[in-house]
Amino acid sequence: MDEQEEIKITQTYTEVEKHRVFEKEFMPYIDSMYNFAFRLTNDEDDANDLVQDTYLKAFRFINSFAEGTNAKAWLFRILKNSFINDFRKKSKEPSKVDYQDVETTYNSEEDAETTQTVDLRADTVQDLIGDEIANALNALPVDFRTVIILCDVEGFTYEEMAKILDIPIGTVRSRLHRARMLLKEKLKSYAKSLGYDVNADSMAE
Amino acid sequence: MVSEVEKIQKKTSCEHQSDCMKLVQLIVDGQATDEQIAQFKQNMDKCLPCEKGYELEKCIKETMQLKLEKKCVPSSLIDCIKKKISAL
Repeated sequence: MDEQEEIKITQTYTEVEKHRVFEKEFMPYIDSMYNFAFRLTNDEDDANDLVQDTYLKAFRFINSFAEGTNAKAWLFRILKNSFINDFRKKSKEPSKVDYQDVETTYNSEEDAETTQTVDLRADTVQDLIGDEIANALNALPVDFRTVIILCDVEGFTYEEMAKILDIPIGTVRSRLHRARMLLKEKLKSYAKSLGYDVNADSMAE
Repeated sequence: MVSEVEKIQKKTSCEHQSDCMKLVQLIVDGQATDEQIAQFKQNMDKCLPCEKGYELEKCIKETMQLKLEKKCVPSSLIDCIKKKISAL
């Protein structure tokens, strides 16, 4: 959430109402928020700090939240912006960026006309365990990791993601597409290094 | 249900793969229209790369939902947030 938007007051809750709205509308999402923060930071302490910052900020700006609207997307937007604006700079572990990946993917992100395919079998992916999936996800640059988490783990729609990330829906689509291409490459590398047969007879039944 | 004979007759290369994979993304994300879903299903019955592409994308999405560890927020964090909110 931009500071400008955060201070756009649309409600005037009493103190009692503020606490009620906070408890009823925001607290149910704290597990999702914590998992999102952990996936962004890759560190439990950092995730704690990020979630705490987000919830305190949500309370501070609660008058810009209309009860009954999409609290989850509102909170995710605050968390994402807190991560970018305040947290990314001081993170203990700067994201493990493969700069070649970033260069390749960003250069073509908004022009996803050329679709490469990654020769990877669905049953190979099914054989991977959770840690291997997490490693592949964590190896992605944070902006790509973010769209996959929002879409696949948290189930946000493209429209919600566009609002959370403050980007057009078309960019959500193309970024997601690129993110998934990269993820498939990472999954394929992990599977290969673990001795899985990743692409033999991939077109055969 | 597609018979074995029909399976063998499926195309093994797709001339529209770029467009088909964009459609696959919309479908697995639940963002496609009924018309787009019907269009893709019709195509998938005849095209092996599209069928494989759909299976892979669907599998990866399900894997992300089911296999990524879901951490529980520490109760100490909840307590800390509530304490700070009460003090404001």
